[in-house]
Amino acid sequence: MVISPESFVDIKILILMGNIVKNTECEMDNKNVPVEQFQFHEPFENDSINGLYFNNIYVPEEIVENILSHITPKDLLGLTLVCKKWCNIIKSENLWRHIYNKHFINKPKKLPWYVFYCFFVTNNFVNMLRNGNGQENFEHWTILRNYGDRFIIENPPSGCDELPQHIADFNGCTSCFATSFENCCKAQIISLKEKRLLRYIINKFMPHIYASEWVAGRFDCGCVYKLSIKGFANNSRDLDSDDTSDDLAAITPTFHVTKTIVIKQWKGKEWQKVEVLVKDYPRNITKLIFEHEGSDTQFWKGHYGSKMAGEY
Amino acid sequence: MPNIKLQSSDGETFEVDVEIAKCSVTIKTMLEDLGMDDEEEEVVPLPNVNSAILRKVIQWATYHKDDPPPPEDDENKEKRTDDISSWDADFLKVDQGTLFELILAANYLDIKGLLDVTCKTVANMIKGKAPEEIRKTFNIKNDFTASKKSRFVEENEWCEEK
Repeated sequence: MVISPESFVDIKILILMGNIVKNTECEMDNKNVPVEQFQFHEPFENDSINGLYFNNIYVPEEIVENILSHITPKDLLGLTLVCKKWCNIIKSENLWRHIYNKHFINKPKKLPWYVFYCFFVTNNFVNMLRNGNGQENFEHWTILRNYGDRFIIENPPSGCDELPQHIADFNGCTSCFATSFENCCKAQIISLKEKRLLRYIINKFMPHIYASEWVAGRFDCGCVYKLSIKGFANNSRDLDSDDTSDDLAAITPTFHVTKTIVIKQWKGKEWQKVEVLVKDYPRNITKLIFEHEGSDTQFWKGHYGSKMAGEY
Repeated sequence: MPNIKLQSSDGETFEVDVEIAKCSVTIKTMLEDLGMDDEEEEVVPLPNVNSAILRKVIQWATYHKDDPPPPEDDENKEKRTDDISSWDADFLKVDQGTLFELILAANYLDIKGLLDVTCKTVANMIKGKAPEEIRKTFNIKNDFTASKKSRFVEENEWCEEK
């Protein structure tokens, strides 16, 4: 599951931002401000050119930008405390576009500095799911239903094609999860609670949330498969990754997107990619859940249900 | 190879291979715009660069004259600050004044390679230093008031993921 930086499309929102993020003179204790109320400070208006003199040699701002672009993004925030000018340079879009173009050829979207910061310094914009192929057994997964002969991990997948190894989604893994003749369902919970900046960005720009995985059936048996992406905005009670299935069932998600696939008998041995893109969702999401389930359609003993791998 | 003459701000003239001089986009454009003929004994004035710095720039350009052109943008490029060649590192063992003069000259002459390597050198001087040390190194004034500063400290802390 990926929060896609490519989907920051709302330039309209950005134009409005100048109006939203004002009111800087209020002395607010920002440290513990909830994400919903947090505001970034405006740049210094009277930043002077003090920070552009290096031992009395004046260096144009774009060169200072060039110099700072060679610093590890993670260390840049600390340098905002050198002087007002540096603070303004580091907390401005130009420097970050510069850094972006060191890594990517396409033009960066027009976004405030902290979105780039979050993109470069955290793992929030890469695959947030772990153990997508059962390479670590059922680690990181919460089993919600485990009927029939229960989930197993097959390496290599049995009764269907092998995982196409040229596809990066599998990270070189060759194994998959397989379901049985009654519903098997498990979920991975991604908590955004500690990720304040990410939640701030999510609230402000509503980046698309993309989830995908690969699905196959056995060559000789039909099966069903369902992928659900859920978002929770519960402030009252906090879910954690070690929550039991009962805890999960007890709260209602604020959004819930599903995709169901039915694979007919003799048709299912090839791996296919199932994708879900969530473009529109309520604000203040604090938790995302990737949930998948499956079973066979012929009620055969053993593991004839749908198989899953390469969750992303 | 034909030579051209470059004149520094303090009037000294340097005779340089045209191909070497052309690593400066500024000089290259100047030659093209003016239609200067290689045969002619023209002198290119460089009023923003003194002789000491121009000598260094020519030294750098001469050493790097056979470098492959900077790699075209490609998807996987990953620039790092520490990839300064040992020759460049030695070449840039100069006082801070000279280093920044070189940066300004590279900027004015538009020599990307020299600008990058000098900026990286300054970046390396910044790395791992606390703001106070950085201010001391470059003689930058601390122009924050205490309350403003603490606000930014808080904002930074807020942004950092635990």
